[in-house]
Amino acid sequence: MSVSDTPSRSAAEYGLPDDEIVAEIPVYLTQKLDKQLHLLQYPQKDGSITPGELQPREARIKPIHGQIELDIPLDVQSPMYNKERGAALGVGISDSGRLLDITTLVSVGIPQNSEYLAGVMRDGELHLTAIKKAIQLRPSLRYLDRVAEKDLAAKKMDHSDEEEEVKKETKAQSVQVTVRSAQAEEALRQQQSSIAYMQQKLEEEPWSGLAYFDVGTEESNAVHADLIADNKEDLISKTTPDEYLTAVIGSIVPDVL
Amino acid sequence: MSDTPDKKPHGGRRTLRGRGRGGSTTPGSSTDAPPSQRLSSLRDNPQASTSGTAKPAGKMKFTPKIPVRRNKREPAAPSSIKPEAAAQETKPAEQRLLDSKGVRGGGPQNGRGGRGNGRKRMELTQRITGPFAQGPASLGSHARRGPATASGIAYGGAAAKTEADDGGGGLNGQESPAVVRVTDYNERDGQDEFDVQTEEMALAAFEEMSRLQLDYDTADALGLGKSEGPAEEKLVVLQIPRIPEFELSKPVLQRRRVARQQQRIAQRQKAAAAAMDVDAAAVDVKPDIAALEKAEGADGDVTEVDVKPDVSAADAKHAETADSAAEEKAGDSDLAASVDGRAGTLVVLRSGAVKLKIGDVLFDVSRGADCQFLRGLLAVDVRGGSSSAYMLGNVDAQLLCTPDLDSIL
Repeated sequence: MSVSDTPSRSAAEYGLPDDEIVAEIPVYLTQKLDKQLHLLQYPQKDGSITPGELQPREARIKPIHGQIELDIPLDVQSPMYNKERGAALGVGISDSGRLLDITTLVSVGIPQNSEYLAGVMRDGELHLTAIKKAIQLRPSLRYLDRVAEKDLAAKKMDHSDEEEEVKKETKAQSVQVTVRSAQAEEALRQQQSSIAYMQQKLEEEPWSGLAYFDVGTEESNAVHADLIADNKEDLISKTTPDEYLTAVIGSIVPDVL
Repeated sequence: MSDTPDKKPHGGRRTLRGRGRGGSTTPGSSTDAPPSQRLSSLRDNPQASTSGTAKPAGKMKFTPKIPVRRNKREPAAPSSIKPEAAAQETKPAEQRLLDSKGVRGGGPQNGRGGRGNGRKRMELTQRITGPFAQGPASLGSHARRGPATASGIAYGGAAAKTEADDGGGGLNGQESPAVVRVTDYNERDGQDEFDVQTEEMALAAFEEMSRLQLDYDTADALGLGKSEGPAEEKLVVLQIPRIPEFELSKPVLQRRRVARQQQRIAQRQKAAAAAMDVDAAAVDVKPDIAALEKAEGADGDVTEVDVKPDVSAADAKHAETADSAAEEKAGDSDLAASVDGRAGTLVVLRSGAVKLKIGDVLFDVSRGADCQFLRGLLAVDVRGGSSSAYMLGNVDAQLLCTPDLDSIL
């Protein structure tokens, strides 16, 4: 803790003339990791677990949308693990008779109402870097979907011929509909499908591999060093308090129009 | 016993009679010995028997014929019981003595029952729920962390309840673990509804609340104020409405510009050495660009057309000065973009408040809501063909920065 050397300075410059400054910490801003920092929240995990416990076996990312998937291994040897159920659900992962031995965490973006900065307190200095995005990692139950699909596919084997014909017909019909619709309706459809459209785009983007470096690895430590500012010189502020307030208020969308 | 036809029923229904209910005869008209005794005392204290309001201890002399069973689930009917007996039996359920560390919770503070009906040593159970479960600021964080885990509280509650079920057992020096009984308001046992708050309680509560609003523990969150020793690095997340904009000061810009130029010159020389074999200047230029692009890829520089200073054609030189000017401009915008440096100061004040001055804007810093789940910081690099994620650590605390409007307006 860096205590200021001058004995009990008044905090007048901070708006509290009757108060004393007990500790003064310089604050540095750096932008090296500006575009890369993500705040991860694990709603189902307790805050006290060690980082190593969540080391994923495999990680995937959709680079454009920024969605991340982590496969966290499960302990199949544990006496608490139900092997029968594991085998039944393992079908959702692969057909090779593999037990369900991973939990897949999928990221979901969180709407942000304010800006977030990551701060590192080191040696009485605070180094800040802007956080680009906040995401939550939640377990994905896709394996359940796949198990259901496989069951359905097994049942469908009987009705396969009929189904194909029906599908062709419906496809033909849908094409006709789009040709007929007027331009006004097209605008409406665009609006309607904007979320669905985005969802579709998200699903279309393929997963690409993500190399994951946990806390304590060399690579991770190297990147961690980028959180610390190199330059200790003063920055010049381009925003006056007035401008700042205007900017902040301006960015809040009022509820009442 | 008595042959008067209008003999009123006797026994445990004195209270009813006190109210004038139940019997067809008016109270007090009987001349029978046992009932009249009770009746007369009842007549003297009609209020006490009916509404159960304040009755000074010790004035009651009568003993009930039928001992009234005090089930702790029943609402209090204090009139017909000895004050001591009453106190004894209901106390174990009531008295969850808080540990010596003091009062907890932000709700109604400890206080006597407003009715003051002889339960002198009664204390309110602290029902702590919601955001005030952390306790007041006046306590150190150690106090708070004690039974603050959910399991701790549940245990305490269960233990407390089983003790209460023993009846009078709770007072026999049995030390219940110093717990705070946390209950849902909906679970209220109807026994003691101390709805009346004295003014003192209200004032105390208000004071506690205003103290709570102070930025308690913010200094702790940053690892200050405690002799935790050096080098314990903390990762915090700061929440701020907007980050003020900054630019680099002139000397810093100059310094960086110079450093960059030197870097470029060094690179050019390297590329020139590599491309020495090729003759025509025009051809030379191409590998240069390629080499430079590769070298500067990491910097994210705009690709620039660079001409070697070694090529001594007059146009080349002319082109070079023009290019380097353009290059400098491009470089400047890059330098300006990567702002790095001291943005302000964070001060911890004696009153516990924490202020942050970023640029010219002053902020109040308070601790964000406590987060039970895990939070981490991940740096995701999607540049180039492959993506990498670097886990930088767990977030230790969250701080909330609010612009200090007093200073701005």
